[in-house]
Amino acid sequence: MSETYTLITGASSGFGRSIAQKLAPSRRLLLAGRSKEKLGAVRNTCEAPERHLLWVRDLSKLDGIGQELTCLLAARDIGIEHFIHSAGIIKIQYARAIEMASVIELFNVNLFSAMEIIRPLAQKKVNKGALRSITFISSIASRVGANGYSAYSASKGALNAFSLSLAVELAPAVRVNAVLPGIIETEMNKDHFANPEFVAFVRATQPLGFGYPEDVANAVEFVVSDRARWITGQEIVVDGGRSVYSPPRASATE
Amino acid sequence: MSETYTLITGASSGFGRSIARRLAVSQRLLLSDINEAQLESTRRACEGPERHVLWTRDLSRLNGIGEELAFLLIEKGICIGHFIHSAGVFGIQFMRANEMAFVNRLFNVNLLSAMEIIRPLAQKKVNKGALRSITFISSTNSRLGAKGYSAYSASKGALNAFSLSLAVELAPAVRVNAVLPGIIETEMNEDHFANSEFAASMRATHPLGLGRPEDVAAAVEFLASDHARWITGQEIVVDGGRCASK
Repeated sequence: MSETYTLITGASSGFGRSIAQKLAPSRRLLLAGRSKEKLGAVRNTCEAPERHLLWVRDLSKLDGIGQELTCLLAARDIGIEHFIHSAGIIKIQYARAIEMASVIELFNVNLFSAMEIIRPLAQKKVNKGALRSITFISSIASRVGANGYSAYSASKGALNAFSLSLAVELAPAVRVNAVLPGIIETEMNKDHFANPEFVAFVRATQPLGFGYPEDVANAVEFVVSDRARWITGQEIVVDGGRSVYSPPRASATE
Repeated sequence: MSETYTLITGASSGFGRSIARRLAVSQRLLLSDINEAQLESTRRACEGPERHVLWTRDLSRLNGIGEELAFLLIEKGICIGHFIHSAGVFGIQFMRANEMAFVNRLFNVNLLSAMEIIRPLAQKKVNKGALRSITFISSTNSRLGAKGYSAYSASKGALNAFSLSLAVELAPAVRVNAVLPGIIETEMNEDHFANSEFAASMRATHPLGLGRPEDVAAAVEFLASDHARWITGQEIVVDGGRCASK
């Protein structure tokens, strides 16, 4: 094996793009996403674009993900040292009208594709023991519920629990953690942010004000680095204090 | 209006069977599991057997679960007031040898079948607004990891998060909670308990000693009752203090 790379899924937008831009100065990246054009565009915004590789793959189609990644690593003679699963989709589904095909697509991208990727990365004959960390981009939706979010919350809660058990299984060689972003504007939720009432609500209920994709990228960079060498099986919430906030109560004692 | 029943999946063994026997005293039950003969045996072990109805269904086959339940409710003229999802499969698989067929079965039974069941229960035209509570049997494996457990932990972590979001969506009419049992001897793990060293280590790591399926049934009965009228979106750990003492 000649060189080791950091694999980032969902790299063509949102948190994945920010993570790629943050890590590019110090690492070789394997950027994965559905769109070759978007991936190429992200690579061009990264430091030293020629250092990074692309893997164009729709993760909602599970069959063959593991085999294709194995072939890619063998063909390029590279290993994966860090895997960051930032690929994710959202589906609003109300309990009374849940469509299983849509739920399965949600789980394919958000969770099962990560399992298919990890299998070869955990095999000595494929990845030569190069793997050092896995980081999942989860969500505070796994901890705080909302109307229509039950299936999405389920997929992220699954990621969290998957992460902590995998941390025990792959220790001590590989650390496994999850970063849980709060409400941050990306392509996935920009429709919400176009609504001024929503924006006002977000500002009022977030003790540290607005967050940005860079805030998530900073947390991922730390978790992946040697400075986090004794941290595994954890959930790092990056949400400006939203999840611990409750509004002030009007009371004579306050 | 139709008569109101409590639906229990996984009713013929383990926690489901204990829950069925406990609730049979005061409620009409719709007992569901994969094996008809075992279901019938469970019904006969319950108080007032003639009061309870059976639904034999393999929950690993997702297609049609919702439609078949809707049909059964309409045909029998019954509604479901409480749904207890105790169906669950368990298995150990290491990630380096991950096979999706195994993962799919786990998720189909442990999580997705519950979604299929809840859809008709949440529809006014099928269940007439009768639903009052949903209780999931999850696991402390959603909080404590172990080698080979990643897919099983994932399926139970999914249940927990599904539960809290569903609680927000279906409030105030329906309360939704999860019970997280620790390591309790049932058919699913009796091989482990046959090993005396394992049983001894269980006693050592559990401040309150070994648990029984009845301990889980008691928590479920409480959550489904009016005594828990202001409790929703919660995880109740029933593990003899193991998680707290690590």
